[in-house]
Amino acid sequence: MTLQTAGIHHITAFVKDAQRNADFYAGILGLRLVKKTINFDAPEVYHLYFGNEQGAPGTIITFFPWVTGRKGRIGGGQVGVTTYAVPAGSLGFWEQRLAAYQIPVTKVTRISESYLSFADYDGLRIELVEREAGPLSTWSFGGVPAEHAIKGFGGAVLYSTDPGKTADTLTRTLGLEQIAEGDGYIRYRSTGDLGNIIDLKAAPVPQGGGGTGTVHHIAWRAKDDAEQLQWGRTVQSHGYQPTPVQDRQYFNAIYFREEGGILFEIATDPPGFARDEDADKLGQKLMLPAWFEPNRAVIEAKLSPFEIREVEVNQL
Amino acid sequence: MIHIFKKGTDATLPTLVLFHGTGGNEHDLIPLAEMLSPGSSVLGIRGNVLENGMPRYFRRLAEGVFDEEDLIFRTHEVNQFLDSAAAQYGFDSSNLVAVGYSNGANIAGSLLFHYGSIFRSAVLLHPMVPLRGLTLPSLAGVSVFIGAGTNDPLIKAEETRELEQLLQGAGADVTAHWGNQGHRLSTAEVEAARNWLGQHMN
Repeated sequence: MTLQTAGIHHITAFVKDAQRNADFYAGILGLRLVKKTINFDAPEVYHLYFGNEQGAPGTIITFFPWVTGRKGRIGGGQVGVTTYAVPAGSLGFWEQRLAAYQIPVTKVTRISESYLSFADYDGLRIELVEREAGPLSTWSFGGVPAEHAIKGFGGAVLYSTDPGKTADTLTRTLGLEQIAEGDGYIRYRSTGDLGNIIDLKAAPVPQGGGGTGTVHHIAWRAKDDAEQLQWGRTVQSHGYQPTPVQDRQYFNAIYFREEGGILFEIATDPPGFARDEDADKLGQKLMLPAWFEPNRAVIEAKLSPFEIREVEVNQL
Repeated sequence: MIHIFKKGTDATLPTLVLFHGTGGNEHDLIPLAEMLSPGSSVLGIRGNVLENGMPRYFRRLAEGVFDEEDLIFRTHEVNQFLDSAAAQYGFDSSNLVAVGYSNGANIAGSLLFHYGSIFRSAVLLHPMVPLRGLTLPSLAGVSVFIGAGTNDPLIKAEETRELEQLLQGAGADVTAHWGNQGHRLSTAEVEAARNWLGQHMN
């Protein structure tokens, strides 16, 4: 029985400023902040998770806002573009909304689909595409009605320093299926209905540089801890040496860098974000793992406060 | 810094300065040091930073993303410690060989990047590029052995080659050994490092 991942679990990136980050992803894109916690190795840096109402796998983008971090350079060995899925007939709404917020948008076509392509405040590349698959959002914020709201990831565009090797890992290790090719990209599909369409740039991309404004890693879904162990063995049998399982509080993670240079993670669907907060209060309070709790006052004092707020069009 | 010093039997041999990997301690690489240069004095240093209770030499925010401010601060801290340890134990600080694995190789690399010929030789096992955008001091006369894995799960081959080029560009004599045991320290790597060090100690 060959393992197949359902698709993207989450994508993690570095940015500069927490308030700007929240304004963009919650205020403008209308996503929900589902968890406010810290980087467990650098507690003065937040770790923010944005997703759909539940923070379901396939909808979660996570950020480390790091003021003193070095600016990165998007390139090979990275996720080049993060793709969000909106309901059919919604691109017009988003085009107007992004224009109102004075965000420069380019319309592009790739493998017969239309995309709105733009960047966030830190230079991360984002695109919106209409997709039929996946449940409608149940979360509405900042003037984004649920019927036009982002459902979750459509997928991602991968920039590899060695596309042949990356393609091999996507299909033979992760169990994705190649379904199309065109416009300089090869398209793969996973079994889920969100975060399931991966476009690999067919030409090698020169090595990027990590830092703010770049994606750090992309995580693929494992059903549970047992399946994650199987994934570990599968990854190993393909010549990779994955890291030991690491407890990330809301999922367990293993990591390996595929041969095109992209850091891959395999993350478990459970326990999810309601493990330490009520589902209707996600993201409201700074959540700390037990071992940090005694130092909460010190930790909170070192974090720069930010709020989830509606962004006025004329306040920009 | 927490450390261990073991006086060697041959004072003409270089003193080996040992830097462990994440989660290790000052004792970890002593067996390796005895294989690399029996008879040498050995100074094992424990990293001053804790990540989830695991000692490291400097902070990182995520896999491969270093806290550069902390890295620079810690590099100077280790340098000062080496000075005081040389005074305390009477070893010749102009005749040091760094031996570092993983995070330890990165701090050793950072010491070379900041202080040039602080080490006569360095055995860097599974290192990354510690810092980018730095003008390196002269490394003329310094020889460096890099142990890398073609299938290292965490370090891209490009990064190993970048480090090689940076060190060579500063005048170091660099030898890279490529194994296929991932991020692990392999027997073949240790053999290669020992032979290399034997040729570079006179």
